[in-house]
Amino acid sequence: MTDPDLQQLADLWRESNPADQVALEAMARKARRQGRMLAYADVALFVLIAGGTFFAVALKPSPVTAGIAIAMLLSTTYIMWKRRTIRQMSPSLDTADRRAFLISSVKLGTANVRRITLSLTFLPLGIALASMFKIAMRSGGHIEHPLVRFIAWGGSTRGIVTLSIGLLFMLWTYRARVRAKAELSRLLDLQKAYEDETLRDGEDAENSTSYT
Amino acid sequence: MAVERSKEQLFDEVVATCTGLITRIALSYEANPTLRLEMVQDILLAIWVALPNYRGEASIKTFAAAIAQKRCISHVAKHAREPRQVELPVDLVSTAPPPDEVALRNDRNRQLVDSIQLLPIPQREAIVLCLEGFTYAEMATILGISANAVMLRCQRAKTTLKSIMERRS
Repeated sequence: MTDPDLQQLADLWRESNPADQVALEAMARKARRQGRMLAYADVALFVLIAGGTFFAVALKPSPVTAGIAIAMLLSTTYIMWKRRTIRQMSPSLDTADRRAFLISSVKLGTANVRRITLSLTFLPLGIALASMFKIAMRSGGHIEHPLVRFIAWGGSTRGIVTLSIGLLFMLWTYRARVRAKAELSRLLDLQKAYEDETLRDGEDAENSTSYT
Repeated sequence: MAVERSKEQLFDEVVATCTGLITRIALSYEANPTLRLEMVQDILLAIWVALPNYRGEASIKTFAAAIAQKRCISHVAKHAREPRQVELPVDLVSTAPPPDEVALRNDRNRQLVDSIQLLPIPQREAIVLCLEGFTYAEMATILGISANAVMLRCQRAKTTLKSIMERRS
């Protein structure tokens, strides 16, 4: 950096360090602890699933349960390994270029919005079906007037509590969708800003070439 | 070589040499001190998680700066920054008695931070790295663009920054 103005700004900039080293070291210790906990959580989950599977096989030993247990163990191992790899190479950590980073972030954001929208669409139906299933189970596996029974159940204390929890969950999902959409929109704006900046890089490079 | 050093040793090196850089990068993206501390914590965790991927091709400082910048971009995408939730204090607190010269410098410092936060993100990340003393080649590695493009972007950012600072003063 040879520009004297820039050097002056750099000196000024390096003075603006509002956090003290002791606090930062404490934060670093916390980050280290959290990082280790993340790794231990993967192992603990694996042990829990594997232990549970072995216990289930021990209770009801048969070729079918053993086969399912092996399939579960294999898939769990694969998922754990994959989760660990993805965490290490997540879009925000991958040291690829900014364009690739933004593209993957936008893809992730879009998928997130779709996932939440899907949940929001099927949630009322899911709640209704689960409630009807429960009513049917209580009345010996059949319902003569499903709608009437459902409305009656909805008026009971149990029904009001269940439906209120369902409604709260839907509102929470809706809030998550609004947030995910806002995040996606900001990511798209950022992507546009980078594209514009790259265009300006090209224009400036052309101008500097034509001057020389 | 990086492969010869353990994750613990590398992280110790990051803490010893890069915390100032990380806090300043966070400062260029977030005005709210509480959110900024959360961001620094998040960046440190991201560096810890990513350390197994460090192959020693670039310096640890470059590696940390690249992760910090990306975490900050994700932060900006997650949290709307406008309107700002918290304004910077009118005068930055100094432990020393505030003579005129120090007050003026603090004022200029605050003005610089404020102005950097107003830059478009692509220019902001370039100028912050430039002010942190990274070479154009290192910046090119971090930003994933050519060294020539980095130079042009820094020039453009400097011009914008100066015009913002002049307007604000």
